[in-house]
Amino acid sequence: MKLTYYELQKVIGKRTFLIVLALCFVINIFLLYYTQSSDEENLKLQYKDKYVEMINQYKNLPTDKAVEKVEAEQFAYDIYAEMNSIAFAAEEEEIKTITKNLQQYKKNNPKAYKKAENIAKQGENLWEVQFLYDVSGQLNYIKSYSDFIGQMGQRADLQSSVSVFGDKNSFSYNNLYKTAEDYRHLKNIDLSIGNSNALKATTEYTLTDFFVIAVVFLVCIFLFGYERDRGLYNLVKTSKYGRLRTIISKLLVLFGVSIALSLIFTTGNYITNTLLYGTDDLNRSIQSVPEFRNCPFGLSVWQYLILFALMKITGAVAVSSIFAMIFTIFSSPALMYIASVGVVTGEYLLYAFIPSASSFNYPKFINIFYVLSNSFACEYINLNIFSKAVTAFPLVLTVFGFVVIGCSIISCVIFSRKNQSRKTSALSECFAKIKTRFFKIRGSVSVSLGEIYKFLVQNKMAVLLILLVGYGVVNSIGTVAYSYLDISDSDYKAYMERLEGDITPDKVDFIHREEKYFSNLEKRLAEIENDQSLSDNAKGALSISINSIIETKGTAFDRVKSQYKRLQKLQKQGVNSRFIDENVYSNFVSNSIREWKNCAIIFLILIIMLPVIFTGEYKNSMINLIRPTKFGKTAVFVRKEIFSLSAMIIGFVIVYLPYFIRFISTYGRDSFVTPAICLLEENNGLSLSVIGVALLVLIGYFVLSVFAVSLINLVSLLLKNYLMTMLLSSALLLIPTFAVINFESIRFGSIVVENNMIAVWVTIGLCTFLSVVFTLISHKVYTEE
Amino acid sequence: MKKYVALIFVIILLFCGCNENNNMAKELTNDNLPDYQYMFSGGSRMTSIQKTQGGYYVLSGDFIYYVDEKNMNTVPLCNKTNCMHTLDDKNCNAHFESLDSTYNMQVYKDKIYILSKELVEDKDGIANYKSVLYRLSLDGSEKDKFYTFEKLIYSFYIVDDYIFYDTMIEDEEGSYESNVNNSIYKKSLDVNDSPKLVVNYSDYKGHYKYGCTIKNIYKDKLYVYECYQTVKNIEKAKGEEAKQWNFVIIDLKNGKRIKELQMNNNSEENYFAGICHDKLLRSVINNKKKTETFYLSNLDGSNPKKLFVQKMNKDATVKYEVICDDKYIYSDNVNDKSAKKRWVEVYNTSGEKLSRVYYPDENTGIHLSVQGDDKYFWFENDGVVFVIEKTQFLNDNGKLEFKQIT
Repeated sequence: MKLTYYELQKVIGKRTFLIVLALCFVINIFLLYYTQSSDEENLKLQYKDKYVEMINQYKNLPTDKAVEKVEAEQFAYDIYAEMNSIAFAAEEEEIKTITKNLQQYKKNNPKAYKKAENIAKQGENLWEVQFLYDVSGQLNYIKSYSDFIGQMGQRADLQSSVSVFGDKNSFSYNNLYKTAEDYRHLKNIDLSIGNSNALKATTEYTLTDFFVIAVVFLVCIFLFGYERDRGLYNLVKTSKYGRLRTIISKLLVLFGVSIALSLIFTTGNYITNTLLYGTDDLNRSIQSVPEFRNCPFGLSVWQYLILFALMKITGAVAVSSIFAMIFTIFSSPALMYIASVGVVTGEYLLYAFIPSASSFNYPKFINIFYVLSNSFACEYINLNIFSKAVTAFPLVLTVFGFVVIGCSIISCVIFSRKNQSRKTSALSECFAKIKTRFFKIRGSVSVSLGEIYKFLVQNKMAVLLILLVGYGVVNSIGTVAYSYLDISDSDYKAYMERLEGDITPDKVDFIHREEKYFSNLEKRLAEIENDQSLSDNAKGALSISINSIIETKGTAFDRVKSQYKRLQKLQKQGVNSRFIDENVYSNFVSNSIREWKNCAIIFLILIIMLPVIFTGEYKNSMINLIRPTKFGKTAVFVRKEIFSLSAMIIGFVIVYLPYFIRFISTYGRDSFVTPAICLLEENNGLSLSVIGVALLVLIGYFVLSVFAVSLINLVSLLLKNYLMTMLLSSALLLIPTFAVINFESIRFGSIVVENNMIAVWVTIGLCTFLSVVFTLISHKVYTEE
Repeated sequence: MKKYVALIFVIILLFCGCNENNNMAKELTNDNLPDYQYMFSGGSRMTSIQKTQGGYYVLSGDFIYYVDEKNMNTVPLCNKTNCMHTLDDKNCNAHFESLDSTYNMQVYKDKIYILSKELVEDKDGIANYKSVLYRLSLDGSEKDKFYTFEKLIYSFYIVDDYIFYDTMIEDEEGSYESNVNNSIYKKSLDVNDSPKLVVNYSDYKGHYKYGCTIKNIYKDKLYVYECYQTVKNIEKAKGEEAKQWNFVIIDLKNGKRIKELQMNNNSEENYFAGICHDKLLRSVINNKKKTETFYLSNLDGSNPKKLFVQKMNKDATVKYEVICDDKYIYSDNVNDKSAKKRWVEVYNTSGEKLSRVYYPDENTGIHLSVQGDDKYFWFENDGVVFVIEKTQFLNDNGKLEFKQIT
């Protein structure tokens, strides 16, 4: 027990762990709050009290009466909508019909009519309309649930009555009847409406899993990496309980902390969502919530929440056992990180991209992320195991039970038997030979050269840079595709190839000629119709062809005309307007997918490359030798910072330049000087040219990268450990990046194009300011310790 | 001597009897289904019904259904009892989110292939539509993306382990316009195999906007309507010659044209009508006489045998929609402007009229378009699929009854 206690102290006694845990928790809650509240249409958040009040109004009524009451309320809004429609009625006949309808409503439904009049006086409450719709949906779902459950047997019989599902030895037949059997116990459950928003928000929010995984990784560093890096394993393992008992204690602590982490984060999420959305009746059946219709367990909401938390715990424990095994197998920090990230990334990709109906769907369901997701407990899946329908839930739990046990046993065996000290890999030996052969110290070495040597040769970052350059070169080859989303896009492209650039008299003439051409086409259509010399077939064929031209080329020309009118208007406002291909250049100035991807890649490159710059000397305690030397403080620090920035610039160029090379080789540079306002439907005052927008966006991401550099360097100096720095930097940079993947407006391109320059300059200013602050703090830490 | 003559006569009679038996249509059973089920070809790039052992697969709306052959029960192709098979059930096996609007489906070697059109983003975030071929197991429980075509395609046909398809766009044009220089390609079912050009319309005979509509595929022959413009600017065309159609028979294996028949012509126009018991049923419209004559010829168009002649409307439009199956030829008076009732006349392969049956009064909008197997005609009306049992057609003066399937 004492051993376990001491191992636990190694984790919770570390200030770094507590800070990282607090930081991850706060960021998690912040991102949760942000993702919920950033939806402008989330009225349930703004009017949560009204929603709870409405739910309570209908909750205790019998379902049929509640449905009647809701329909009556909704009918009042329908009458109100009809009252409003008079204002938009164009014809007298229409007005007469509406008036007649309203009179009938007044006669037959006086209550609803009166409410409609009140709504007209006081104004429509959007929240009430939406909430009524939601409550109505819940009530209708409850009404239909008994059929859903009660008729499962009948549905199974119906499906199996056809030959394709009728083979009793087939998976499909077994699946049909097993499913019906497994739901049988839910036949007579009571359902009621409620405020399930907090429950849904908690179970649908998935970013927490990444934070938990990151903190579990940190715990592994403390438990397994810390002693190895300091060469303490030789001492530990020679002691009486230094092998098996030690590793068992470590694993117990690891699992215990993982369980605690899962509980803390999951509970934190639920409490946050409850504060945002209001409380719910936790005693009602989980099947009362439509999104949980397929849950096969007869649980109440609170019981389901416990099950959900247990699944999160299971996932965390499984991940921690795999990490423990990786940490005991590998001795190199880089390999540990790569293997751990590789496992997590691989599992995530298998889970996210394999369709559930795929013939190869086992890796999707026997998957850590499936266990961590809400679907594991709330959806019912049977897997096809030799044509038998096997319920996924117990199977997956069993598999991961074996995984945990298996990984733990492997960890124990390797830890007990293997010498855990760092060994030199074949790559390191090869590098050592190159070093001794080609790099000899002749007298003193300049600080800058020394830093370059340490980075490229000693830490083998030359390999990474070569790979990056290769990636950049390969990425520069090829073209940038044109987007053909509409049938008229190819004709629009052809027009733009003719017109792109300055508005010349020649082009204006061309537009007039095309206008005449299309109006002649219309005339020709009429002529063909009246031409007696043509057979009906010929008339039909010619008309179809001409209409086809109007639908494609004509639509494209309409777009060109509309652009021309906008450009003329802009010219009058003093803008040097030019024709520009909107399809090409809208994507050039702002593409949310490309921007997100590039930003994520540059962050990943920095996280892998930069921690080694500052942490290397702490690991081997060389920092104590360097600091007392003449240029051992600020000079070294400045050079390291410059070197970090240089590495960042190289990475930035490799990531961002290839697209520009391909773009210029595909479309040229002629439209770069075109004012970007020519691309927009409305004049929002944007005064930059196309290339100006692109460069400003680049500057934005560059400054963001500089901020990332300063952050990573600061974290390096605070933690003094390569692996921990990579981990914390991933949590601080990559996880928020993933959080905003679906928020397309959170991109520099989008903000610049909307001419929201305040947001642009504030962001750039803030990043610059923080970069400076972090750098100054880093300098203080580096020089004064 | 007389005995020998009599013996020879008997032998000749016997052979005649054998020929008669050989001319009887072989029923399409599960054992002799062709690779490409020509009998369900919609002719306008639509194949939404496929026959298989024990039943039929039907595409309707956004769902795929299975119809049992014995009891004609129809179920969505989904083996989940806890699924209501509606658009709200996100994991319903029977549901396809992005079915190509032309409803292309084929059952081949115990797998179902379905064409879908999806928006795919490249590494630069540029989105373009791609045609994607999905492969399903026969019970719908396994569904995988089998192949993503480089270009958008109209339709696909799997024959002899090759996928034949006609493209919508050419490399440079990038246009989605139908019948604009599309070509026919083939690639093997091995996904690593690259496509090969079978018929190239991009620069054929110096004509403009050359394209094709595949009418059917049968025994290594492609039956195609080709269309091209003889003038660059169609709006300036003055007469019939501006747009030309040909009915062409192409050898599927080498892309060579076996026969080329003009479709629009001042005197005669040639049309594909169907495949009838290993023969090609085609029609010739005589615009001067306002008649449509039906012929049964060899599959390569040779040796045509006249069956019957039908009159056209006074305005020289076709009165009847004629299709066939492997036993009979059916003439539907859907376009007869003078007819008070809707009916279908049935002919045998010698051109003799066997019967006339009537549509129910309320179903005047429906007409036969897909030849179907030996048992049923299939058609869709307002999103609902119906069948008509073919045995009804031999009940002279009878009234047709439809059975709703979906």
